[in-house]
Parts: sequence; C-alpha cells; structure tokens
Amino acid sequence: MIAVALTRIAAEPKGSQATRFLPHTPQSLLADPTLRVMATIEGTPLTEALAPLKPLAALLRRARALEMADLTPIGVTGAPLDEVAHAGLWAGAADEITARLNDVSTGLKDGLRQLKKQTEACFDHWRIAYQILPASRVGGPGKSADDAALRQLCDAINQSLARLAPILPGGEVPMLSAERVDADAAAREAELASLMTTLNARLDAARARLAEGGVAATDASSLTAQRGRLRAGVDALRLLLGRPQFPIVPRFAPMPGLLAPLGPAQSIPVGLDIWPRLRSRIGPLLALDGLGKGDPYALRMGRDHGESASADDPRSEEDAPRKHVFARLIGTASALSFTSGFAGFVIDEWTETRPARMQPSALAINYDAPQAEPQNVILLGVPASLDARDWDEAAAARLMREMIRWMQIRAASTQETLLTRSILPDSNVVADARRNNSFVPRIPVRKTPALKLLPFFSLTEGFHRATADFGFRTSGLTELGGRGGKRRGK
Amino acid sequence: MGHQRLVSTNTSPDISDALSARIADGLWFLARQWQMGEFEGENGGAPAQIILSQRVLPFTGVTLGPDVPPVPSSISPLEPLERLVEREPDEGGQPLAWNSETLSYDFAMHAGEATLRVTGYDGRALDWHDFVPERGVALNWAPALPDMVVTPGMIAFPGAPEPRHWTIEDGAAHFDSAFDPEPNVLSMLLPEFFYTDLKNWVVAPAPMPAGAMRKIDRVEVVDSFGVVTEVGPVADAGLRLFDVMDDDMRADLPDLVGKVMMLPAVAAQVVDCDVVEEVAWLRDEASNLVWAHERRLTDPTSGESASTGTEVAKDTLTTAVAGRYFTLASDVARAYIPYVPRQLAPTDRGEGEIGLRRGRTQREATPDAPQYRSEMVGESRWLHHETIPQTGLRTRRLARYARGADGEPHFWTGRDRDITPRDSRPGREVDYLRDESGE
Repeated sequence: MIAVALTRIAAEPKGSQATRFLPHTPQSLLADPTLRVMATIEGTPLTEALAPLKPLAALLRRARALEMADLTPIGVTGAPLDEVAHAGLWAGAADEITARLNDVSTGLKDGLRQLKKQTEACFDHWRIAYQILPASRVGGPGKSADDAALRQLCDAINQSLARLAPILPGGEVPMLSAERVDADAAAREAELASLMTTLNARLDAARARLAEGGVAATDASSLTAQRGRLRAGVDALRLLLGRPQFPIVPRFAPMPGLLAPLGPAQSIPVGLDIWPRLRSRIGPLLALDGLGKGDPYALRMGRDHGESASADDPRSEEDAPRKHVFARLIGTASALSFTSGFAGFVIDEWTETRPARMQPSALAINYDAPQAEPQNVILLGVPASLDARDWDEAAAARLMREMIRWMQIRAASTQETLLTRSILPDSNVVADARRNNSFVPRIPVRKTPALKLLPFFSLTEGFHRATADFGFRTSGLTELGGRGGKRRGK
Repeated sequence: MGHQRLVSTNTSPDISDALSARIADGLWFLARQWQMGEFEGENGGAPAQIILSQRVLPFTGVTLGPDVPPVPSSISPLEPLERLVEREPDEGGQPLAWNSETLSYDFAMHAGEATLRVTGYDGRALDWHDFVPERGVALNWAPALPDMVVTPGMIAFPGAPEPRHWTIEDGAAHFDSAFDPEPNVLSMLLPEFFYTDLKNWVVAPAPMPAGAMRKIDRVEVVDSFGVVTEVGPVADAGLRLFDVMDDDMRADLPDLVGKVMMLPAVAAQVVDCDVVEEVAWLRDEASNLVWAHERRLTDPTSGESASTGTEVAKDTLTTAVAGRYFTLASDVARAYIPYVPRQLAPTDRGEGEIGLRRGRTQREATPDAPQYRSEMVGESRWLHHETIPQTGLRTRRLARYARGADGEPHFWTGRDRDITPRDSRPGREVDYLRDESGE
C-alpha cells in the first residue's frame, strides 16, 4: 500500500523528509513512459472493463518493486511479514499467471494448427482451378503472366466489364489482367505465411522467457525465486499477445495472516509517524479494506503551481517562496522515483505557507517635495521663424514667456466690478521668502481703471510694468478664501 | 383632433465626444493652475534615492518562563518561534513558558545583551507588538551593514488621489464628505492628508531578516538635483508605529528613539490540528465562583478524545421519602471544577490579594483520584483573580503544525486562549425547595 498525503505549501523544503510530489496533468500522464500502458487502452472496448483496474494496476506495479525492508515498517512491529509468508503469496500469484499463460498458449497453438490446415486447403483449390483452364498450365500461380489462355479469359471478362462502364462512377472499370490475378494470389499466400511465422515466433519467445525466468525454480521459501517466476509469467503472456506493455494484473490470494494486522488504522502508527495522532479524521481512511473496492477515495494528481509563477517572478526561492505541491509519503519504497509519476491515495490535505527569511519592511519618509505641478495642458509650439529648423533655448524661452503672458491675460476676469479691494480678505496674498516674511500679491493688483487695460493687450514688453496694476477682481478668484488657497502662504 | 409636440433633447447615446475631453481653452487650465499656486517652485527636488545605514542584531536565545536570572537556550531563526515557546516537554507536563495562574505564556528573547520580554502571550498571532524591551538594547550592536541604496516610491493606497488630474480615480473607495464630517473627525483629517501632505511621503523598501532587531543609523535622501539631506526619526511619539520601546526606555536611551525595529521569526501560518483538551473558564456571580468546564478530554493512554457534553450530574440528593426538601445546591456534572476565591497572605504591598483556589464538587474526589481530568486544570491550582473576565475564557491544548523558514515541518502540542464561544453554564441551582415523589 502506498499512501500519500498532499500538502500545498509555499516553498520547497530543503532536505526535509517530505518528498517532492511531481504532478501530472492528464496530458503529462499520457506522456509518461511508465504509464503508457494506461494510455494504450484508452478508447478501446477494453477501456470500460479495465477502468477499475487502473489505480490498482498502478499500485501493484509499484508494489512489485517493493523490498522486504520497505514493507516492514507498515504495521505493528512483529506482524507476520516474513519472507515465507510472502513467498507463498507470490507463488500463488505466479501459479495463477502460469495457468493463464497455458490457456493462452494452448489457444494460440490450436488456432495456428487450424490456420495452417485452412491455408493449405485454400491454395490447393487455387492450383486445381488453374489446371482446368483451357490451355495447358505449367508452374502454377505466379508464372502465368505470358499464358495466352489466361489472357483470353481476362479479355472476355473485361469485355463484359466494359459494358458496365456507363453505370460506374467515373467510368473507371477495374479491368482484370493476368499479372493482377497472379500477384493477388501470391500476396495472400505470403501474408498468411508471415502471420504464421509471427505467431510461431511469439510462442518461441514466450517459451524462451519462461525458461529464462526459471519456471523450474520452485523453492517455495525464496521470495526472489517466486517473484522471478511471476515476472517471467507476465512477460511471457505479454510476448504471446504481442503487446509488450499490455496491463496484466496478477491476482494475489487474500492471506488472513497478513490482512489482520494491517487492517485497523490505529495499528499502523509506525509507518505514519506522528500524523494520525494529530489528525484523527484520517484514521478511517487508512483502513486497507477500502483498497480496490469501489475506490471511495479517488486517486488524485497534484499540480504544480510554481512553474508559471517562477517565469513571472525572477526573485530567488529564498527571498520569495512560491507555491508548490508536496506529498508526505507513508511507508513507501525508497526505490520509488518521483521524477516519473506517482500514484496513491490521498489521506489528508492541507494548505500551509513557508515564511521567508527576508521579510518585506519599509521606511516611510516625510520629505517636503516641491509643490509645483506640471501644467494640465500640452503646449504645442510653432518654431519662432520659418528659417529656424530646430528649437534653440532662446526660442523656447520666448515661447514660454509668451504663453505665460497669455495665461495671465486669460486670468483677468471679465466680470468687472467697481470694488477697490478684495472681496475676501488676504485671498491673493502669498509669503515672499526674499523679503523676510513680508507678503506680496500672487496675482498682480490692478489699481488703474479697466479702460486703461487696452494698451496691455498689445503684448509689448511694457507688460511687466503693467502687471503691478492688476488686482483681485481681475483674477477670477471669486470663490476662493484664505491665504492663497492650497498653498496656505507657503 | 390631436397634435404632436416635438421636443428636442440634449442627451446622446454616444459618449465618445465626452470621453475625448476636447479643450478649447488651454489657457484657462494654465490660468487656474497659476491661481491655485501650482507653479510656485521652491527650487527643491523630489527624492530620487535613499541611502540607509543600518545594523542588524539577530536573536540568539530564549528564556522560557519567569526564570531569574535568565537561563537562555540557543535558538535558530529557521524554527518557528511559536513551537519553541508553546511546545510541551517531551517527557510531559506543562510547557516551560506556560503560566498556569494567568493561563498564558511568559518568555523572553535575547539578542546580544538585549532582552525583550513577552508577558501574557495567548497562543495566537505572536508578533512584534507582544515584545517589550527590558535592558541592554543599546549594547553590543553588530557593525553597520553596507549602505543600502533604494529608490523611493510614493505612498499609495486604495482611494488615494492620483498624482495626475486626468487619471481616473478609484470609484470603489469612498471617504466621507468633508462637508459633513460628523461624527467621525477622521473623515475630515483623511482628505486633508490626501490633498495637502500625501505627496510629501515616500516609501523606502528595506527588507530585513526575520528573527532579528534592526537599528537604522542614518537615512539620507538624495533629491533629483543631487542634494543630500539626512532625515531623522519622527519626533512625535504618536506617529512612531512599530516601535518596541516604552516611555522609560525612550528617556534612558534617547539615541535609539525611533530607530529600532524587530521582526520575530514566527511561522507564516500555524495549522491547528486535533484539539486534545478544551476548558472553558466562566464566572458565576450567583455562586461567587469560577467554573472550569472541561469540554473535551483525551485519554493519554489510548489517545481517544471525547466531549464531556453528554455527561450528566451524579444524583446525590434523591431520597426515598416523599416531601419537600430544602436544598443548598443542586448536583453538578463532574466536568465542572469550581475555583473558590481566597484571600492570599498579606504581603509587603498591603493586604493580601484575592486568588482563586481549585476546589471540587464531588465528595469522593481525592488528590490521588481528582475530580479534574484535564492537564490544564491540573496545573492551575491557583488562578489570578483578574485572569478570568466576565465574558469567560476558553483554553485549548491542541496539536499544531507549521513549516519553518527552511521548509522543515514542525509539530508540537501547544495551547491557546480565547474568549469563550458559547455559554457553558453548569446549570447549578442554589437555595431552593425540591419536591421528592418518594418513588
């Protein structure tokens, strides 16, 4: 019995007892060379009949590789898991396989005999038929290509066939020729001869494999000898069938002496280590009675979530542990290879996370960044002159200066009032750092009547002198309060 | 007769015009920004690089229980700290760090000369805030590590205003309107923080090893003009999160204020497995008692676990003579262990305090065959009076599992303490008349 507990944790344990569980999607399962047997029976009439055997066959295939040392830890110490008891078990299975082998080979031999008889009869008739043709025939089939009588016969048949041409699709008529008649006969005979040769070769190979595997080795107390017998029997049976990977499940007779100590879950704490004591609900699942009976606990395949994640995240596994699927194995053979797939019963499943050795932490720093923000419009500038191909600094500065002037003009409100001071006190006042905490209007204050604005729109250099005359009521700031809004006098 | 009325509409099913946000007056935007003071530069640069100089001091030992002087045992940062603290000794008995009078764990961690003490850890979610430094934090810091140069990032959180006005903000996050701030003043402070100060906060990622203390020696900010500014710790104690120092230590060690962080090597996730024992601790004001209700027990020999919920009280009152009987107290099931308040002996500090002494309700119980069956009740002969709140407690012994930082699996039997999830009264009646049918 191989039991596996799946766990999904965030990283791969290094040097731990838990062993990596390599997952299989159904596609990868089919591609797995060790599981190809299962793939070959997919989609055949045998599929339905063999489906319940699949998990069992996988388990038994693994079990055949188990050694005594692997079996001993499962169960209570002192359970009758000695070699003699096991050798008897294997001997029984080998006997059963041998019986099946004998059945198959006997059937095959009978079939071969009948085939040979029928083949000879068939070609005897053919030869007789040749000899009664109108002309004298020498040499039998295969040597009549020049025979005039056969040609005439073929011509006669072809003439009647030609009359059928109008009603055949495409007007193609399979005309007879003497060469074709001969070649067909020769091919049939060669095919049958080849089949018989193949079947005889299979019989020989099976016989040779059985001899090599030591059918004669009947030492009942030797587990190795009985295992050799069983393997030889299975191989011979496959050779007979001509399918070297065909799934053949040996039948082991139930042995009460072995089943009793393995049955109750609480009697196998050694193989399970500490786990059943911590997770009492898995106890019933460990009873071996459920093995192969309706399979209440489905065989599950794990899936590795780490492969795509590792492609996205270049950090090392130490710094950023990723999700993997792991299994805790109970009483398995050390010879199991986890690179080639694995089958077992899930007895417990949980999720866990591995802490990283370096953990994310950060410093929050209060740093008074400049408050200036990029403008909310994109300035598309036209070169200053048609002659200038590229921008130079002076041209760019000129563009910016003009833009600022236009912006200031745009800021002048069209709602002219006759007020002489701000509607909201200090709404246009900012601190002037150059003048020792004195305040200056952010938007220039206008003191002259609105009519005197007219020269300003000429966009002359005189603008800077005129800016001192712009006041709050021309700024459009009719809804703001406080000292300069957002900046609060900074 | 009839008439038709034609009504124009200004709605359109096509929103492409609206989405294109065509601007006919770019100068208006510029003017608005000018008026709002957004073009006022301060000749300052934005932080472009942050240089950290730091020292790291790993924890090397732990003292389990209130040992004085401490006898630290060495620890590994790869093993979850929870297992180290909570596990019961292999030979049985209560964990060394378990305080049976307060039903919690007490232990201390050592890093060099420094000691950080944890008092009253309840077996759940151990983290830095449980630790209080005791002495010697200033001593024996390791040499400074090579300077760490990091690129700062802006502080961001769901719902924060986007740095660009044309970015669509998170519509799912809603903060209260600043115009109706009641009753939560935070709803006014938070938008204020968004709009005036958020851009002044940057984050410097600085990962640190688990199972260590870290001291930040120096933080230098290099701005986009290459100006280097040294930044000190926040002066306001209320803003210093993740600070393990208490007020006394801050007064004694001003150089360390706001510079020390700690990160214990705790498990990322502790898997709770089977519950071995569960005890509910409940106050019973009518009886002036504390009951310890053993809800779940496990036979140490067979490992069989069972709930005591179906146990009934042994009848000691019924008599064969019919009549009405005055009854002092009704029978209580075995699983309910009483704790009786007792005045402790006077101490130097004054009158003796009130303690809770374990008692029994079954007359036949003896010290050799006690009424209690759980280990936790067996350990707690005395309880601190203030340990059991009015709402009651639940303590459990349970199998736990966690994976260490090196991937090794760790098992232990630990304990936890929680508020009691459901009422578990003994159903005890006192001072009443009982009818006996005499049958």
